[in-house]
Amino acid sequence: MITLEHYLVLGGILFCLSVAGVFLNRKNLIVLLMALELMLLAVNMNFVAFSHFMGDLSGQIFVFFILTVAAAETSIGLAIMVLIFRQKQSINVDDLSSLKG
Amino acid sequence: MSSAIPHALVFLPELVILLMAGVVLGVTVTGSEPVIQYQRAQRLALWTTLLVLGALVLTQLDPAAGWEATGGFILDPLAVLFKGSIVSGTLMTIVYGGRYWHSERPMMPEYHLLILFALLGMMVMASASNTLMFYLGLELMSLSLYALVALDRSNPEATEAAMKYFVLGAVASGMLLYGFSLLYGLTGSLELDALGVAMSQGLNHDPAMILAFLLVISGLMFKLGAAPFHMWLPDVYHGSPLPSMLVIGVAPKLAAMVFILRLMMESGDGLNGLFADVAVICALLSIIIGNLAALMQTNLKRLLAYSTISHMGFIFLGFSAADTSGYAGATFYMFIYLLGFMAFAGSLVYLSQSCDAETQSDDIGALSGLYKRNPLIAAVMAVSLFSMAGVPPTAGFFAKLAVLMSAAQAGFLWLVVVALIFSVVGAYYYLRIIRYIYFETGEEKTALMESSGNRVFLGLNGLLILVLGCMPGLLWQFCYTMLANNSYL
Repeated sequence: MITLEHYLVLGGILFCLSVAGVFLNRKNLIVLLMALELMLLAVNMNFVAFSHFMGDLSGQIFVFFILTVAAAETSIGLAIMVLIFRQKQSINVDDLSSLKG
Repeated sequence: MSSAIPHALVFLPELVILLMAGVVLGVTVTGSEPVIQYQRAQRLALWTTLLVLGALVLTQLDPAAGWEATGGFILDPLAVLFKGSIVSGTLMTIVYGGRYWHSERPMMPEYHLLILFALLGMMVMASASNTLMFYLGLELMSLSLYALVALDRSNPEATEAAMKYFVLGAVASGMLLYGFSLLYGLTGSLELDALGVAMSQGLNHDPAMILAFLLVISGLMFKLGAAPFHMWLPDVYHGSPLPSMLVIGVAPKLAAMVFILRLMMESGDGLNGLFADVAVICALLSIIIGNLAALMQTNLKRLLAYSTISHMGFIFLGFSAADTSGYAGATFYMFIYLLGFMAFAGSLVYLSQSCDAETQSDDIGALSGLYKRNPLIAAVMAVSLFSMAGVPPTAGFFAKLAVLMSAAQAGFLWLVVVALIFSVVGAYYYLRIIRYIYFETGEEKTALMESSGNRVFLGLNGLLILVLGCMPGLLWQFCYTMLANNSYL
């Protein structure tokens, strides 16, 4: 029997993975965007699990909104990334270091 | 009001923005000269903010409209107070920032379109009474702001700043959402009212509740730019074009602040202890980090970013009291900060208009001898700097006094002493800018364009800071009454 706890642990693991992915990744901006996407999916997992086990639909409605916003967010991220590639010919995270002080 | 269909008047300001944003969108896609498009978009955006202010007054004239509407939207005194200030801040942004783009810099009508969408997001945030509504408002605002920072496509620094803002902003939204999902699981509802019920059932000692609360408050602290979530602020201010810095400077912080206040009021006494602890740590870190790091800056935008961090520390000092006078103090401080920031940053935009893209400099040395070149702008900058430093005849002194008093009354005397010491440290770098303006000599620069309108408004802005410094009681009373009238206090 799969209980609520199983889903919550899965959501927690996904969330920690994505945070680690954002802060440990020094190589590639695309991987960074994927980690950000994973973070929202971890939240979705939580919402759907709570919604199912509580018999309340509003959590699942929230998930639809998160999915939509995630798509918009990724498109903005990709647009900025294209700009960076045009200017630096690279999408390496370490190359983003001209602002310091 | 409890009917299922809310009074349409409640949404009037938002509807006006949405409608006008549609019109501006239409203007930006019609095929005429970019310069004409830009001027049309600017005029429309200016009228929109004025119309929204009018609509906001209209919502208050009809008592039948009430406060509440279903669907996570509420128009209580707290929302009205902050919406008024958000719209005023945006109005100043459009007036001060609009003339930055000229023939030397690419003129993009999207600038005003994005401001209007961000404004819509902030208005929704100020009125959100459930987590879904707040999230949607927050994302509408954030996505517009990322694009605003990246607006100058030929500038690598702006692009880099936009990427940093985007990544850290998305992580903050993720933390906030994870907190929301836990709150949903614990209270069984997306509504914020459910929080108070859960608190009265003793959920406030549940570790999951504390985790959820910490995640939500961290996300909001990021949006405010308070330490320890301040890393993005100096880079984003430094890299972004000046008018975009005006947009992200104050209004989004007001919108995030409403939700903190709403969260505190809804959860009642249950979380106040925890919130006070978080606020004390945050205030201490922000004031120390902000003021010390600002000492070492020679770039004006970066200096302004660190000074923002220290001001956020003072606002959290007001939160640490966790009572009405503390919240009112923080709100009062935010409004005074809005005026000071706008006067200073608006003057920077004004000065950057008078030189082309090559000779423009954000270095503090660029202000040398400004007093001789432009006495009015020099005076406005001096007044705003004195206000931010908290020197008596200006409004900033009373703002600092209000938060320090409430923190002292709540028993955080040691924190007040630390804050006082570091505001003296902070006064050093503000006075250093004034020294450059009045006592150094600089070379003459040729003016590319004169805009007398901005001079007048900047002068009025500076005057307002002085007037509020002479009679701060009115605004303070207004903040206090509006917050005390809110249903949850």
